[in-house]
Amino acid sequence: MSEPINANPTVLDVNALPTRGEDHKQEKALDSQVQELLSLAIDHGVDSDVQSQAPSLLSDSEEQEDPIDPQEIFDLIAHISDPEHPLTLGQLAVVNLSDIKVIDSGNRDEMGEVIIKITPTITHCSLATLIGLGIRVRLDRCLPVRFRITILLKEGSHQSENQVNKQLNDKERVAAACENDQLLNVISKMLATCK
Amino acid sequence: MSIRLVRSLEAHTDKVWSVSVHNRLPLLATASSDKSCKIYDLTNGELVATLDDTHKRSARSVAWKPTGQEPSLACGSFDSTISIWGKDYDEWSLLAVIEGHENEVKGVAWSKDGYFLASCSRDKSIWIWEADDDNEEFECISVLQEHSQDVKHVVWSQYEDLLASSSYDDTIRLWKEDDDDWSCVAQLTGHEGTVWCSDFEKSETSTRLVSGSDDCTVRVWQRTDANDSEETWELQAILPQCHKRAVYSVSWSPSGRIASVGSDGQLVVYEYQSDQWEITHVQKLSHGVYEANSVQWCKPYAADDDNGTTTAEWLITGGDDGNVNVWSIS
Amino acid sequence: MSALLSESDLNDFISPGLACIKPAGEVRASSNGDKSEYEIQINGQGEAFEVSIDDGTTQELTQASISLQDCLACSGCITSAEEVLLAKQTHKVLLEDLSKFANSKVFAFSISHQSRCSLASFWGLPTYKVDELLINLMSEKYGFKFAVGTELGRVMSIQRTNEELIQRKFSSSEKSVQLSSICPGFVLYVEKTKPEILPYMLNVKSPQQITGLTLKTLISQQMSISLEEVYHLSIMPCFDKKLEAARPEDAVDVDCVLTPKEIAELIKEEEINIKDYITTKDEPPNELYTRAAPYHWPSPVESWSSNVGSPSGGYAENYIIALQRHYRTKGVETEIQHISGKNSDVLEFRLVETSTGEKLGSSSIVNGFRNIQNLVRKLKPSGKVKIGSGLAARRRARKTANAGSDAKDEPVADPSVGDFVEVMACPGGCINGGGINNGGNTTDNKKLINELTEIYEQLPLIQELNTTSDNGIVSEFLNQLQRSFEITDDRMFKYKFSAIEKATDILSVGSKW
Repeated sequence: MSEPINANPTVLDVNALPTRGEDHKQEKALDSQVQELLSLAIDHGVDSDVQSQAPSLLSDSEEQEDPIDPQEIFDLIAHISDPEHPLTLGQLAVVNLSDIKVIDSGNRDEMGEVIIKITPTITHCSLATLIGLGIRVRLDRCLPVRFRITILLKEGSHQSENQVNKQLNDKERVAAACENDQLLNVISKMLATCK
Repeated sequence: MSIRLVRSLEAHTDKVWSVSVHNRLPLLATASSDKSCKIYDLTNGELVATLDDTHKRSARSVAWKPTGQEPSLACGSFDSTISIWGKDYDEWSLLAVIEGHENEVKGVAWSKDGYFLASCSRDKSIWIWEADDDNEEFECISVLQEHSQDVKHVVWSQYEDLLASSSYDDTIRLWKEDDDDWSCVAQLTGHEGTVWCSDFEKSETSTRLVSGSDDCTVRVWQRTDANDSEETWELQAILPQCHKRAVYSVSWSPSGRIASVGSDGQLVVYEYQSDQWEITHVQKLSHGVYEANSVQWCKPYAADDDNGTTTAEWLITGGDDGNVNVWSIS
Repeated sequence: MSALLSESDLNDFISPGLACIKPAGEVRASSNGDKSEYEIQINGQGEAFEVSIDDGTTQELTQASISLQDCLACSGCITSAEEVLLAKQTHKVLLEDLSKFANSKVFAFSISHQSRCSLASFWGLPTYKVDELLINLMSEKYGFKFAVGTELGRVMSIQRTNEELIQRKFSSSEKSVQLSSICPGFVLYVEKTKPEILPYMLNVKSPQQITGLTLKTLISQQMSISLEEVYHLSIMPCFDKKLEAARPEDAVDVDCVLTPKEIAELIKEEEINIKDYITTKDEPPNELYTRAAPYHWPSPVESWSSNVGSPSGGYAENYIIALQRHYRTKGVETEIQHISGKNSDVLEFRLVETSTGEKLGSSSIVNGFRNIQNLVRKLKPSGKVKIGSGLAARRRARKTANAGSDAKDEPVADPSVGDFVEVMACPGGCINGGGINNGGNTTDNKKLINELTEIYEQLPLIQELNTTSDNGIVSEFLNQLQRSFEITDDRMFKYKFSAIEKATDILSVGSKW
């Protein structure tokens, strides 16, 4: 393979990544600024729901499910591997808990919404569309069908922000890409590290 | 006035991308991510034929040819080919596979007299094919490459050889034959996102176009001036806002109604009343929590009440749930 | 393709593929032949170093850049090639080269007929005054030592084409149609997206390349310098000629290609008064033609003449004329019929025996992407698809029949079953190349093409092609040139075609969908 575009990415310690429960609280205690950021970005009603059992995501048996929260979304996508590095999107801070927004009533018959802002490692990274596609495929496969997923590049993080955003959120382009075997191979490798 | 679900057909196991109703016969065709097309009898909702084992990837769009003794249709696929199917001695069979586009074919449409087939693709081009009466020979007579992006949809006027194309480049273009080639006669700009679909008004005296876009709006455009090589089109109205997400499909009915569907699952009907467009029906969750991809008006093929009267118009919608829904608007 | 190479007013006659370009990274990776592991470090000054993991040695990295060859070697879009071309073969680069190599290279230029017609129309001058202007301007202001027209190269290309086709027709068992490889846009399209058509390509180089080699060879001999010390500027109606000049097999024959558009731009930017470089004499500057050519250039004046046939070069028609001549030597009298195709960009020349009416051979002109499509689709049999032949013409025939006239069973051109096709990517052929100067006016293209065609048709015709093919001046010269300078047939006439594989690396696959 050719040399990576970003040869020296900043890598976060896995232990520093946000997780649910005790670790999560500790982290908040450690860094009040992070806490503030999170509280700004996250729907409080959802955030207060942390103690409940994680539901089976694809459960079809009851009308009312526990609403999905940003931590669940983060857990689904943070372990996706970067296509260039043996590191995950969480470690590379491409996906951040504070940049995930969820609107969900938990009602199976009502549409929900997930908005994720991703931060490519360098501004001209031509792999941004691939990373975004990997995230979309992961969520399409794991989330209940009621969710509409919007994936955006974080403002100012990329040279061709609008262009990439448009492609990532074009249903037809995504559907066609998911029928491209070469592309699917690359994405399968990226998703292989997901728990 | 009411909107009523007449029938829901569990047509496919994957997304229904496109629906098309024959202009004379009670035949409905569908195209799906499951790589097949299906044909249903609208009078009873029964499956007439499954057209499969041909495309290697999603069937994206389907269109009935308006002419010919026996019904026939074109199907455009993500595998970059177009298949032509026809009824031949009571059997539905594959008549031709047309190659030429470099990648995903996204739209197909027949001209009013069935002479021309237009196709559009992610390769940014629109191809115009000349078809023979037997649907066996297709010859490329023009390749139009003025769109700067993905061309999502093509549609012909029912009254003249005028083609409208919708694109990822946020514009709509209109095309006409000019000497021995085709050329762009107008470009409609204003949408602030991908234009997914457009449809001509069904009127011999007025030429208008309705368009639906990623910017969540539905717009009506009117032709105000035209000669052989140039046309002037103006934005006439932005229809009352109802959709909260991308509008994927629009259709203009013979009686003058407009219908739109989209990512938010809503089916919206608009009518022109006392000098302005008004929303007359909204059907939320037209395909449950799934997205609705395609909508088309057709005449009712069954009585809509016990007295056997049929004053209504029908709407056919296709969604990500794999279903095709038949609605009665009265 | 042609058009992608200009910013605004060119048309995309053949558009680029969507699968992307070779990534910049590969350029360096391939230069690093061994399999050792390296990692990249950035030092305090921001310079990149490659550090071998095995032995810790470092090597400074050059910034990755895409060369024209990389673009040509890729199946992808031509967008990068566009940038590279605009960067590497522009009038600004020419000016830089002129000062950079002022003392180390001898500058020469060649100019195609279509380019001269375009400039003649743009400036409102007779074609020969354009010649005078350019020769004077280039030598007086920029120090060019030589200038030639491209007719000699074209005649060599046509003669070679005819020889190969006729030999093939009467000796080879395989009778499939041969397609001209004169148009670099079409060649690249085949190499990138229709490799199955490669076996149909008649491998004979274009006038630009043949002119380049001939010019450099004669100048290097005359000036006693190496081929590399000759700088060849080629003025062509088409941006794709830049791609042709940069093909790996021809890298040294043409150093820079400029279009009439760029020449006009140069003259505008340099604030040149064209009147300063033309005389009041109202006749072709034959003396100037002779003086500008290398000493051993055969018939320098005729190199500024043209030949019968289409304004793309007349390859199809000249083949039929050669075939007719061939039959005449065998005592068979024939006539040439012109058969229209389904539109004005398809024309067949059919040779029939006068006494019997039997078809003995045919060649066609096919211009424009839509017609190329139908041609290549017919050459690629694919199962159930029946490909039409002249539906529109038949419909027209039906219509006229209905209108009362009896036009039934009118023959329709079918290029795919002939001996040879002159294929050009641009509608209208080379006279409508992407580099033709339309003065910024894109709306009335048809009018411009008609005007340029008229100007082209007024060029004087040479007799060489019509009289004899075996012992003409050109054939003699060519023999001598190849013998004296040990130029093989392959070097003189053949491209190295290859199907270009689609890029499959992560970058290409991942970023373009």
